[in-house]
Amino acid sequence: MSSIRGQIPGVAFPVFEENQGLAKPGWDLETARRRLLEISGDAGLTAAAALCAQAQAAGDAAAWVMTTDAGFFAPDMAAAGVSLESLAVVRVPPTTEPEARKRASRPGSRLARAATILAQSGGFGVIVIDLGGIDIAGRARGLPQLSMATQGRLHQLAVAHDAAIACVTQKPESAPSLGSMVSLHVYTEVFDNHFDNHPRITLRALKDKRRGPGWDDIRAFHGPPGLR
Amino acid sequence: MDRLACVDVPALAERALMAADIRRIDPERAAQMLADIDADTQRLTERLRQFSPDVDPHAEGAGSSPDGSLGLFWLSAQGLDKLFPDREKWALAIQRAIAEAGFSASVVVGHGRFTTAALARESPGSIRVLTDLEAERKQAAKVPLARIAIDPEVRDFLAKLGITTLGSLAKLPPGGLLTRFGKSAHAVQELCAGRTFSPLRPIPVARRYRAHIDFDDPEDISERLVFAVKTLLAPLMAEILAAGARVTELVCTFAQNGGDVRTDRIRPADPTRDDRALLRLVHLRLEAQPLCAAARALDVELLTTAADARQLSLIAKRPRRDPRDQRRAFARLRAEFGNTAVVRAHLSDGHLPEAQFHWDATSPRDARQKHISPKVPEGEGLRSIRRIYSRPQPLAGAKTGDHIAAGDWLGENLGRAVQIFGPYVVCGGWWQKAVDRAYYFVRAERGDWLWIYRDRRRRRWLIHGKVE
Repeated sequence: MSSIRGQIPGVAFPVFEENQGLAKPGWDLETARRRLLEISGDAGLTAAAALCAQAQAAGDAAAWVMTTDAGFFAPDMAAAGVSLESLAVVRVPPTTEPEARKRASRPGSRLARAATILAQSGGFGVIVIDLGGIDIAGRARGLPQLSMATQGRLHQLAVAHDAAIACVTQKPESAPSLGSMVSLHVYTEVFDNHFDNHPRITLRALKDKRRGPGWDDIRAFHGPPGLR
Repeated sequence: MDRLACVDVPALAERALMAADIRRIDPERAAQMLADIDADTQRLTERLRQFSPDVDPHAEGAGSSPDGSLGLFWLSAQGLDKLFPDREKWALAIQRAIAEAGFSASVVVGHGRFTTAALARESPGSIRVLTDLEAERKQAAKVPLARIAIDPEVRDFLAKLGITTLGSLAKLPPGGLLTRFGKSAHAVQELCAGRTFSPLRPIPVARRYRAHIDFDDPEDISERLVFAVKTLLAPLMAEILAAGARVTELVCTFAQNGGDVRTDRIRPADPTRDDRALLRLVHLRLEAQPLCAAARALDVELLTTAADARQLSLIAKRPRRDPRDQRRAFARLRAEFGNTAVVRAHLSDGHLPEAQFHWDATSPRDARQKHISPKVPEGEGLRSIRRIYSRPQPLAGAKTGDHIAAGDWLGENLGRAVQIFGPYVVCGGWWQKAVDRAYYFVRAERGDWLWIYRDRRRRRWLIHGKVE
């Protein structure tokens, strides 16, 4: 790849070589900052919790937006290194029928509204929007969506306040991302490692506007007690 | 020593215990119950002011009074000899006033805060007037330990030694309880023995800032309602500015058509004098939760606190993530989504998954404080997080039988079970409400890792969540 660099003008090849000063991207706070992200796949909550733990360890503030129907299991978050005392959680109740008719709201718009309020304050380094808990009974039509205007607003706020705004979704790898304003879309997959029988998690960049898609980060995956 | 009256309203403490019990099952209802207890305490405090200007409710906050004095009120009798010469009639009038408010109370007129409280709790619904301090101490010595706020573990330990009354506790050597059970048990002993004195701490009379308006025509348009609030707010804010106070809460009460009354309590991020900030929050609340019927009248009340004397630095270094910004965001979120929208998770002792944590409607701590990482995974691995459903969902595969095996059908959306770990049995509660669940982790054909359980008593398969 490095041999044809410079021969095709206007085309940038991401070259991950130590001597060029570009470190290989991984799933960390630096990769996520100043972006609107999407995390989908098998282990979206796991990846989002890791971001929160990193932010808190660095002295920054993290917030989590979810519905009242479903959310994270708090003992697992504590085991993952997240400080529950410092984690701001916004539990958004379901839309009442007249409001839904009045605003023709998309599933996820109330969560996005709450996240926008948090992002506008500039008081949080990581904001997680858990869209995966919206339709646990499978009654909504289609996947949760965020309007282009909402995505644009969240992206601008993430850049303005040096924050990472991560949307957790549940969709197959082939499904498109939430929208064009998503700067990084990471797909998570858990697989068994036949060499040591210990599961691994892959975080694969399906879309990365900064460094180009295709990179992945493979880590050990520690399941809950009882799940090897 | 000046005399005082102690009023015990047992219903408040009982409701606080009930709220603590149901908090794990229904935290929103528990939070509402605690808010109601706070409101009732304030209401009773105001009612008791007609009998004494100095009322000490000693309620730090419903459910958080460590010495168990929730429901206890003390009234100073100092300077009231000409107004209430007969102490027994005074006590009777106090009891009657509490009964009119819908509560039953016992009243003890005496000298000491602790002794009158113990005697009031000993005989609910009674009235006692004690003129002699020595006689009061002798009567208090006979009160059983079960009647006062003492750690149950300490109480049970003392009962094994035959120490069941305040008098016998007072006679114990002072150092033993401190060494074995710590400061709080020692403090109770010191109070019993009369070696420490707990002074009256009356709360000052709060100045009421209220205004009322009757609409010519019933109003249900939020902009007009906000304008009406603004009109009422202006003169009140001028009074508050002149008094040097700040607003901690704005209470809007709408009398609606049909007889319903709706009360909205709006709390700004910090005590404020900014009426525009308050109006923004009111607007958010009315937009998010419109009135179900037009309002005929509106009452506005402002709760205040004394102004903060802290001098602001002209060149203040603003922290990177300012907690004030966070609090403003929380205030906006509460205004729009309800007062229990902003919570933090709190771990609890419980065997069932839903009992292992609860949601606490208090603002999260400043992230700049010491970061607590209880179990950071070793190496560079990631610890998985389960998603838990507030209401477990039925497993659509319509399985019967108490076991699940690879190949079993889980439903159209999930496919067949590919891999299973379990069962992990949680069983117990036979003395109250028996529970018998067998939990499994099941990998579905589609790829999801489900967290399911078999409720053996109800013979149902339910999905409690997923590993994500």
